[in-house]
Amino acid sequence: MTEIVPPVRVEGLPPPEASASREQVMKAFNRAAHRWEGKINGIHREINPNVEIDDLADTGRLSAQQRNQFAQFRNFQKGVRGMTGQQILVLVDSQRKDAVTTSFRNPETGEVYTREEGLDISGLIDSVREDIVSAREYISRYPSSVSYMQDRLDTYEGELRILEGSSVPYEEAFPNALDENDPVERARIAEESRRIWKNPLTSTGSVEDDKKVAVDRLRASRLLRIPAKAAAEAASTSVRAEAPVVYIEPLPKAEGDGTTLPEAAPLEAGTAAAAEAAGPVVGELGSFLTDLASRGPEAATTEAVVAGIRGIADRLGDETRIADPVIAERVATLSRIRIPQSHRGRLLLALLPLAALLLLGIGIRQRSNFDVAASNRNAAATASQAPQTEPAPIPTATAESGLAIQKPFVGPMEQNPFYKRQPDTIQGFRDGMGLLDNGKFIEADFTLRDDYRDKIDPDNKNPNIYPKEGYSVKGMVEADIAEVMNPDLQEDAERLEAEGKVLSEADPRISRTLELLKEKIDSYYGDGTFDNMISDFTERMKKAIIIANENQANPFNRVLMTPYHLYSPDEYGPDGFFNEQAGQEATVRSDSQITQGRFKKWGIRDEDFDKWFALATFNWDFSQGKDLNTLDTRKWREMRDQINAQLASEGLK
Amino acid sequence: MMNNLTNDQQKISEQLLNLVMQKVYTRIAPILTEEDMVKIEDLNKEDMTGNSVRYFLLSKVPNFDQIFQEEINLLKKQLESQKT
Repeated sequence: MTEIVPPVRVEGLPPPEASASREQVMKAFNRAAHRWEGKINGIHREINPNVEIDDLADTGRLSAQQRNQFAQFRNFQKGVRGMTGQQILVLVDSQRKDAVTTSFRNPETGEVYTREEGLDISGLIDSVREDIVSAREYISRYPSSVSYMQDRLDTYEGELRILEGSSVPYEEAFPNALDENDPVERARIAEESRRIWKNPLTSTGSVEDDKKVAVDRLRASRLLRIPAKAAAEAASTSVRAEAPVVYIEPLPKAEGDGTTLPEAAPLEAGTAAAAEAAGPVVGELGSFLTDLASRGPEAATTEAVVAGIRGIADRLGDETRIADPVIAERVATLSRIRIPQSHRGRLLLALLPLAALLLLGIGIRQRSNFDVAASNRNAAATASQAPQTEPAPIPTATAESGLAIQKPFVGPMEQNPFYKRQPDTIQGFRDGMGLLDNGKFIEADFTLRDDYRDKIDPDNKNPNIYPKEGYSVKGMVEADIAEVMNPDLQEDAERLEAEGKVLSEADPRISRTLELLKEKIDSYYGDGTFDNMISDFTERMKKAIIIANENQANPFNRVLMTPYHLYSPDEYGPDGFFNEQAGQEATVRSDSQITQGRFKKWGIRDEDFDKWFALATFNWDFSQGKDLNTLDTRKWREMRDQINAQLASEGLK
Repeated sequence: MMNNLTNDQQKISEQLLNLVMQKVYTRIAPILTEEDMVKIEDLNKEDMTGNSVRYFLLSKVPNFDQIFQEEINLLKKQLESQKT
């Protein structure tokens, strides 16, 4: 009997069929390749969020100088690997201009550098490797597939092996290196050679040797998958004469004598010195604690501790004012700004262990009391994703030296990695995520938690990143709608959020609420309306989530991420992008004035969201495309009342 | 003596937050310009939630949260060394 071989399924690629044309296969492969590249780059970011990713060169967002530096760095990496015989993993911090390596000895200085410990990227690498294995099998079923597909897969595998730290010679890792017999490649070599020759600091003085360096660089560039066009542009751009950048530097050491605050120190030095200068203040806190404890239980009150800390803060302010009144005034101004509520909760939670230490210091030692405090932490915190354990320590070297303040990108806005407003960069990002195909999502649904959330917000765990943990986008949309209709669900969701949890997507009340709602919506608007609504909301929400999450760090490029812009196509355009020219501000009114929300182009008020969503949800007339100014809140309230009565009769309330 | 530890911890945490934020602001203040400060004050008036200012600060100091964490760790180190 002939064995039935199941078809190979590769995420994002069409199922292998004999009727698929070469163009279809290539097109699908390119899309998938973008996703794999995104994953690999994500691995780099997992290791070091500040690393300069070579994919930026693909979109021209790196300057010619930066591309040159990165190419030199890669060449240096390869050279070191060849010399030492050790596989190294070298990461570049584009802002701090230093690097963290693993088992690397600088052959020139003899210094040894070590990589940060505790970084487990094996899962990420395995994920990409599985994709590549599947892709190879997929490609093998198409005799018309071109070799470059296999070449790209080889390149990805080679890079994965480097990321893993395996000792693989360059030629073995990248068997399809630069073909010097190819006329296109020869032209690139000539351009690169001329560029090196023109720079007296990079030129070897020999045309032939410069050519060898050019070939090495281009090989490294091919590793980086820089397209020919970008490489040629980089080669043709005049390079300013400057010393070759070697990113292998020791981490900065602490500076300053630690006794006075800097007055006009450079940023990095001033930062370290300021950290050192805080020593006396912190030491004073410890001394105060000892003194308070020694004065007996009557003196050791909470009020005394609070007053003591306040006094220390006041003295810090006084010292700053004496050292630099301008800085002091700025600090005073900054101290008056509001901290977002959820963020403030997270900060307080991070400080609770210190508060416990203080209480310990003045004699509170009963373990049971701290257990009570620990169990009440969630109730005390307002952040939904506050850490439950003590904050992870900063790596030793950094803590001792003082963390340098990371400066934002300085350069043309088009090269700013945070500047995502332009459709082409957004498209580039989406292609990298493999989510869009000619404007439509390839995947039916996705969860951002594992694949994307940690990538874009690895440390902060911003509670405004959607979808929420454990939810698919569709599930989030459904849960939100159910919560609007069922106040019990909403209360439970809010309560759980305060405890750092989320309402289960599988809560039977959600499904039943939606069933009842579907009956009413379809009855009122026509069969199929509810399903269309969910589908439409989900698709638009996915777009909005990607854009909004992407822009969380830059408020001036922020696009409203909520269904707000789903319901105002005139202002936001049919695809959900905010159209600044069309509208700056909108006012929502309900016929009963229950809700009046105003949203500005940079954000919405959270307290209006639920009411807005409720009103908008059930007044969306797909057939007529009504906007928010025609809200029928009476119908919504009627539906809600009926649904809640039914739920109560079924014991679900 | 101390009867309600949760409330006590909260009060002390609030004061510690003020102290830590002051130290963080002292470190980042030198890199902000006068224009930045004007912008911050405007955003603080405009956005009641505080999100706009926070994002603005993050755009100026991308590792703002890491600095905050470092200040907490420094404080904790000193307190642990003084614990009786």
